Amino acid sequence: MDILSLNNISQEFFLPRKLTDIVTNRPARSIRAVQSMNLAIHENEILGIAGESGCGKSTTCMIAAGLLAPTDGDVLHRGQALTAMDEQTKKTFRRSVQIIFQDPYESLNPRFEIGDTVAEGPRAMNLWPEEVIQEKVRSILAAVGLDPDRFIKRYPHELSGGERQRVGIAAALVMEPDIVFADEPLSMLDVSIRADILTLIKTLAAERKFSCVYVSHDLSILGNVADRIMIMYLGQAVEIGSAHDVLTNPKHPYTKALISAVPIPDPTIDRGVPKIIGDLSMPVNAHKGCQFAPRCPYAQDTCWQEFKSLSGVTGLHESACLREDAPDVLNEVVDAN
Amino acid sequence: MLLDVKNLGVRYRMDGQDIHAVNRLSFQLEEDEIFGVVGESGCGKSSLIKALLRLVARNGSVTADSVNFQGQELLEMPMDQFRKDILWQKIALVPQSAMNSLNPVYKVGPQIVEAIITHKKMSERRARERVHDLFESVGLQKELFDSYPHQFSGGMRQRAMIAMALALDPKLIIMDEPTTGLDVLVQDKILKTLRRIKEDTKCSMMIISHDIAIMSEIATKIGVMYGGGFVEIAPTHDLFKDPSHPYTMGLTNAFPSIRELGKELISIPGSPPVMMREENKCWFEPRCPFATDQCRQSFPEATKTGDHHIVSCLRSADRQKLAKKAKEKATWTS
Amino acid sequence: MPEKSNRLIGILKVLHRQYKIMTSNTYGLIGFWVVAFFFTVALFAPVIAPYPIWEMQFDAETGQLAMLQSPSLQFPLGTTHLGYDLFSQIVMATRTTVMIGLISGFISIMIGANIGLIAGYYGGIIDEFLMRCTDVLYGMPFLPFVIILISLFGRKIEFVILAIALIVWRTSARVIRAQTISIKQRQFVTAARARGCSNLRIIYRHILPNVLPLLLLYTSFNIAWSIVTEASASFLGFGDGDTISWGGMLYELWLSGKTRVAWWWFLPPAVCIVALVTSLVFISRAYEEYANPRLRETR
Repeated sequence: MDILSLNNISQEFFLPRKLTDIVTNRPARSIRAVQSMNLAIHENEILGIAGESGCGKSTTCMIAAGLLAPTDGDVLHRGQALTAMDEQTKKTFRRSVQIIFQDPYESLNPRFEIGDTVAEGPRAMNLWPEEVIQEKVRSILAAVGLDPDRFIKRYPHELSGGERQRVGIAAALVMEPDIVFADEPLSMLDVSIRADILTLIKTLAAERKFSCVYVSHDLSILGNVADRIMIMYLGQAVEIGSAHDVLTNPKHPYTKALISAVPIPDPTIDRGVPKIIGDLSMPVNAHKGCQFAPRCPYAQDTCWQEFKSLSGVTGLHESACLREDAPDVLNEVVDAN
Repeated sequence: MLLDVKNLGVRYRMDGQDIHAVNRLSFQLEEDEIFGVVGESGCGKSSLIKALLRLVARNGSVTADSVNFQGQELLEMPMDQFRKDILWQKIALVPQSAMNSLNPVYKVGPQIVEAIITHKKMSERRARERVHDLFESVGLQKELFDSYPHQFSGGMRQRAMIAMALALDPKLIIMDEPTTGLDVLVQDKILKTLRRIKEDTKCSMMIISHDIAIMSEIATKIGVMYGGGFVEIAPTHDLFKDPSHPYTMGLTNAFPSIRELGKELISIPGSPPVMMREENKCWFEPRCPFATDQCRQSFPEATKTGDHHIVSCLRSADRQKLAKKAKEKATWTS
Repeated sequence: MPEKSNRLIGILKVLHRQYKIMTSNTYGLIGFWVVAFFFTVALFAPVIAPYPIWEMQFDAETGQLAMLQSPSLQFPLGTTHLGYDLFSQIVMATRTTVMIGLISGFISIMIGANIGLIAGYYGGIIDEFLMRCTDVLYGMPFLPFVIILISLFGRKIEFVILAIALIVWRTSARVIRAQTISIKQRQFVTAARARGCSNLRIIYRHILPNVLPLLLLYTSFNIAWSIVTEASASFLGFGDGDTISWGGMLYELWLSGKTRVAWWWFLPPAVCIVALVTSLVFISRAYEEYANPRLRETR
């Protein structure tokens, strides 16, 4: 069974109405952060969500983690809708779904000792007696590569960025979750230690059997860590499939452009030039069709009217592109230069 | 030769302790070059910029045998002359946070015009024309001249800052993390713009970044910084083909590539040094899998291993053997 | 037993840290020792004071009522027109003033901190309501409010304290609310929420320690303000009639009509008020620098 599924999730943020709007009786403007999103997350998989800033990937995460109520649609945890849960189930959900935050400098309370930071979740939820909590804290710290004797009494400001991020991981995993959301967990870390944290997340996910949703704008990292990848553009999922399929055989023009814009650490490779029109537009009350249409060199009339939402079912390689002939056209997206 | 830096040192006094941010740093910059400076946080790259632009804070001191820019000793020049003749005129800076570098209450175009007029005798009309040209060359639409900074996206602000830096035809533009925080498509366009500007103006650029992938695409020459100095400087192709310092080898291992999906990433164990004093040893030695006793006893002087390839490693003679070993994970974990 | 001594060491460590913060600059150091001096005097006041405060004294040499005497060996600070010893009065008044200052300072910071934390954390209607209440308090003229409260409840020391506390908390509530809002947006609060912490737990366990420097700053500020308020109210004759405070001494002086003559009567309470309040403000400045280190750099 799927651990977590999103059914037709939409999220709109309403902007405050200006005085002129009220005078002219214009309705409140809104930003569509997520639009008709379907997604199923399986046991023991690492799903990557990629896209540029403002594409709604973090919002999707917040919704899926139950920290933000969607405007529309359902989040189901093991088949049970979040909105229909009783207190006990909700508690189980809160515990089973954990988050590893982006900024290890911000996500640890500066006035908490490391041991207390990690123990805070179990204590707040009264999961175990205090001795058991202490024991679990020590064992999880050891598992993330921090010697409990050395670290348990220290404060975040005494730790390096990499060590802090390990604490963040420990604080999430001590709850023994079945799904973990990681929102750009490497972006604040130095290059030379990123690989360690990435490997740590991968091995712990395999050992402790939890699924992971890894959000990042960096396709190179996703290619390395994820089993499946979903690409988002302005609130819409445009493509989903296995990491290999999406990165080596993209079906959507946006995915293709995105991939070809990723710099490659090898000066002998010329990756070509992504063909794309204009800049990222603000998604304020945008048209109802495919959001990429204004920048797509191959947009047709239908693209402005319709939008195909993906099913998100595991195993399928799906693209939201409406053009039937997309695969052939795509070859032109990247100029040979 | 455009810029010749010999034995540069920057140290700060903080809470009664000395921090050596830059140590024994030397490099040369030719005209018409894009010099990429790669390094992690704390390697001294920001202090290097500050030293070159003489912006080091009052608790810091700069020492050097020579910082020669087109025949002039930069550090010996009186400060007001440096400000008047060099800063922005000849060496311009594009700071890291383009967001905060524009004054939010002034329109972008007039802001740049104003800056030009105060620096150079030029009529306002000519300055405006100049800014219009600059907007075009950095890929900003003319209509944006009278917009406020908050109406600009991140990429547009970065372009505006580049336009500002270009305004007085500098010989050298220093850029601090020019694409950090930008989306990959925007980054791609900015890099392209930089390349074109270099073609058009023939100015040299020094780009500071932590991202080797970007450097591999844009730089003609790359310098790898560690422990406050360059451990390796080489033309871009040579650096990737023949990495000669163990730190460079480690960095290339740690970097994912979209073209090598299955590649196993290897971290460099340990963390960067805190440089409290000048030591007669290699700063990378505690993290280096190839370190010998000698590395702990003497500072590795820069040696040439190729025409333009300079390495500061005592074991650079064995570099091919080491490079092969460095590709194995066991080398770094044991 | 080791448990107990560990706790003691813990408390000593915290106190030592607070001392370090307070004395981190010269003004803070001066402030700390002046405040410490007054607190000591307050603590041992009955021992120090040579005479009862409401007892007429007689001149040792002449045997006459010591009326309005200037400072001498027998009466170090002179006497009032009724022959009361002023030195004893100022010592006992120190006790009253310090007590009123401390108690209303602490009550007001308790009110202010809780209102600020709750308004800032929950936001929305709760915030709106609590902040409008604060605004109403801002609209109230300070002294008339205190005076009316005291005349309603009577001139008893408890009510003086209560009246002062009820008005002094307003600024601390606003400042702590602002700080709470900025801390609320930091990621560790979201992290606490994601780990199943309840709202109250987040407020008091996660946010409170982070507003602590500000809280201490406003504690010393509120104590200072309480002392000023008490002095003003007492000077206008709205202090507790049974005890004496610095403001009360000035009130007696005013009533006696000897203001122009008796400098020894007027000067000591005035100097004490200024010295203690200024010292408290010095201490709060030290906390301000600690809470906002950037202030230190710009100096």
